[in-house]
Order: sequence, then C-alpha cells, then structure tokens
Amino acid sequence: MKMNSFEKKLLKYKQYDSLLINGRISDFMSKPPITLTGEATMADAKALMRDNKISGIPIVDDGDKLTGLVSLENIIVALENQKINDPIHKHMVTNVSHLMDDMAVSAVMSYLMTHGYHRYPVVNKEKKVVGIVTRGDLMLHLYTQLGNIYMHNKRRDDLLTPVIHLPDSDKSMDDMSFSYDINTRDIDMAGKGSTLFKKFLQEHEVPVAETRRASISLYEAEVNVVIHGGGKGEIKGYLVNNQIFMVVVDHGPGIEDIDLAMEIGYTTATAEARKRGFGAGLGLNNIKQYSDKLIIISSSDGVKIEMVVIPENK
Amino acid sequence: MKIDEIAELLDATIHSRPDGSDIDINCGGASDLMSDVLTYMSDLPPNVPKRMILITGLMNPQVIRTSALVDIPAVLFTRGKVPGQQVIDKAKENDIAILSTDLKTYTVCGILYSKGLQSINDECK
Repeated sequence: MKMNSFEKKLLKYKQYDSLLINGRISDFMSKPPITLTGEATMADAKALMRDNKISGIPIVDDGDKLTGLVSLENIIVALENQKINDPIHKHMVTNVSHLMDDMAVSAVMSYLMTHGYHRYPVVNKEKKVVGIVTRGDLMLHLYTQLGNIYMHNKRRDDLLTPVIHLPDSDKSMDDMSFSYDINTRDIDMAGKGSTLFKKFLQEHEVPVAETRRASISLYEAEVNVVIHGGGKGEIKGYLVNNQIFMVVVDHGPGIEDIDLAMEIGYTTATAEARKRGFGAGLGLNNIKQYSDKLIIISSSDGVKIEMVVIPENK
Repeated sequence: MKIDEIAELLDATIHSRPDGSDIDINCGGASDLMSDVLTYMSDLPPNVPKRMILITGLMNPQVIRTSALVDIPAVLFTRGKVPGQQVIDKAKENDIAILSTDLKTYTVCGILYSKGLQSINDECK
C-alpha cells in the first residue's frame, strides 16, 4: 500500500524527468567499481572491504560480467563458520539486484525504493560491471540537480521577468505568434524558418533594425540546429509589446562547453558545413551580439536557445 | 553604379534582375563566410546593405538566404561559378540581382574599388 502511493507520486513527477538534466546513472555512480572474481577468498573480500570502507563487492567473471555479490553479512557468516579462506563463489549472493547504466533517474529511484539494499552494481548492455550506486549517491545527485534547477530558474526569472510576460493561454496572442518545425540535415535548406519569421515581422511592421537583428539571431540558431543539433527542432516566435521573443529547441547532443562554444573561432562543424560558408565559430557570438537577451540551456538531450530583441529608444 | 555597369566592367553575366534592381549600388563587400557577413552588419545602420553588392566565391543557396536576411540587393559570384536554378529561383523570389564572372575575387574588388565603389561603411546608404 505504501509503495503504491509512492509509485503514484513518482508517476506524478515523471513529466519533470527531463528537468533532471544529465540524469544518467553513469554521471553519479562510483567508478571504476571495486570488484573481485569468484576465485578470490572471503578473506580477500574482507580485506578489500576494510581498506575501502565499503560494505559489499560485486563479483565478476574473467570478462567483468556480474556473477554475484558478497556483502558484509556474508563475511560475518563465513567468519562464524570458519570458512573465511573459502573461495567467494561458495558464499556469495548469486541473484544480485542490479541497475542498468542507461536507466533514467526516476527508474533508479523507483528501483531503490522497492528494493531494500544499500548498494547496487551497475551493468552495461554486455552485463559488464561498470560502477556502483548507493542510496547516498542518488541523494547527492538529486540534491545537486535541485540546486542547479533552482539556480537556473532564478537566473532565468531575473533575466526575463522584467522583459516579457508570456500569457501562454491567451488566445488573442495567436496572430502575434509564429512557429516552425526544423526537419532537415541539409545545410542548403537551413534558414527557411528564419526567412519566414522575417516575413512575419515585416507583416507586423517591426522596424528594419529589429527585424534584422532578430532574423540574424534566429538564422544562426536555426543553422546550428541543422549543423550540430541533429536537424530536428522547433522555432517559436512571439511579438509582445514590440519586443521579439524567440525560442529554438533541438534534440541533438547538446553543447558540451557553452563558454568554449561562445569563443570566436571555436567550432565543431564538419568540413561540409564549412564548405557552405558556416561553421567558422561565429554563430553563437552573432546571436549574442544581435540579441538583447540570450539564454542557452544545454543538456545531453538537446539545446534550448531563448533570444529577445528589444527595440531601441523604448 | 548600376548593375549593368558592374556587369560590363567585369564581363559578368546577369542571371537574375528582379523588378526594382535598377538601383544604384554604392558599396561592396567580399566574403566567403556567411556568418562573417552577418557579423559585419552589427555596427552599420539598418539601411546600409540596401545599396551593397556582395562579392563571393561561395556558391550555394545560403548565400542568397543570408543576403535576403540582411537586405543585400545584389550578389556577384566570382571565379567562373555559375549559379544553378535553385540559387537563381531563390534570388528572384527575394528580389536579389545575381551576377557571375570568371574573374577572381581579388581582381573584382580591385576593379570595382578603382571605379569608385566604396567598401561598405556607414555612408553607404
């Protein structure tokens, strides 16, 4: 009954899973794992536990594949029965609860709440042990992530709130909003959304200077999606109180180091992109130069760029 | 300087001559890097590129897209690069004049500069 309500709660928050960015086990597990083979003795395990202050050791075969786990309890029993010099495989637990290295944070949490153990080996697709996760590791990870989210939200609010309020349920906004789906890896096709957005701005009689700054910013962001972001993404544009608000989202691999990416001349673009006149490491810099507000949110699930262009003298 | 004069000076072919392209071109800029063209615009008043010709050795639709975004009305392709139909169509769609010449970029710049076409600056509007 208790678990049911917990799982219900978990389900309720599942939609926020993506907020726990970088939430892969491999980011917070202890690695490399301390392991032994089944041929080692219980005394070896005892010494290893003592030296490393740990309470369990995954047991692996010659190929690093998980075959069992020896816990402090196993050691105590072996000591009591004077079997401490036996090989581990005689006393280890063989049906070991373990985690997969590609599990989402919510799945890990769910697993840990429904299994009573303290320590879990993490295995990859080949069943090789690649790390260990304890409840403490998970708690520390979540705590850090919450801190990051809070900091991000606060910075975002500080930056955007004075600028713009987006009434997202307001129907009267419809003719002032623009959206375009990016779906191409062909660099020759990149920029269609920005061209359409420029027309949208012209139709709404946005002055030339702001139209240009917004179009260039959006164009660079759109080209980035095609070159770096896997080619799939969305553009959203809004016109509120003469301010131009643009959001570009992609589902690519993310920007690993935003500071580095902002440096003029830094690029990870392919030769093909460079042949097309892009990938010179100017894109993000151009966006920064032409937008009045710029927020880049990057994770391993993609990049979100928010840009605001504000008319001068207003 | 009219498009026809430029074409004559450079022995260039005119591939696209949209309505209203009979304007005076009074400055030029050369780049093969489209992001650089965009960077270039930052310090200039909004109306400046409206009298500019972009000289480039790069040949692809992005050149037209970039020009369209910043309102550059004329593009000249150098070193014998002949625009394909896709580029020409896109140029017509965006009211951009397209020329091509066999001359190299450096030579083109030299000729146009010596005939009084300035490098792009604040006064070019």
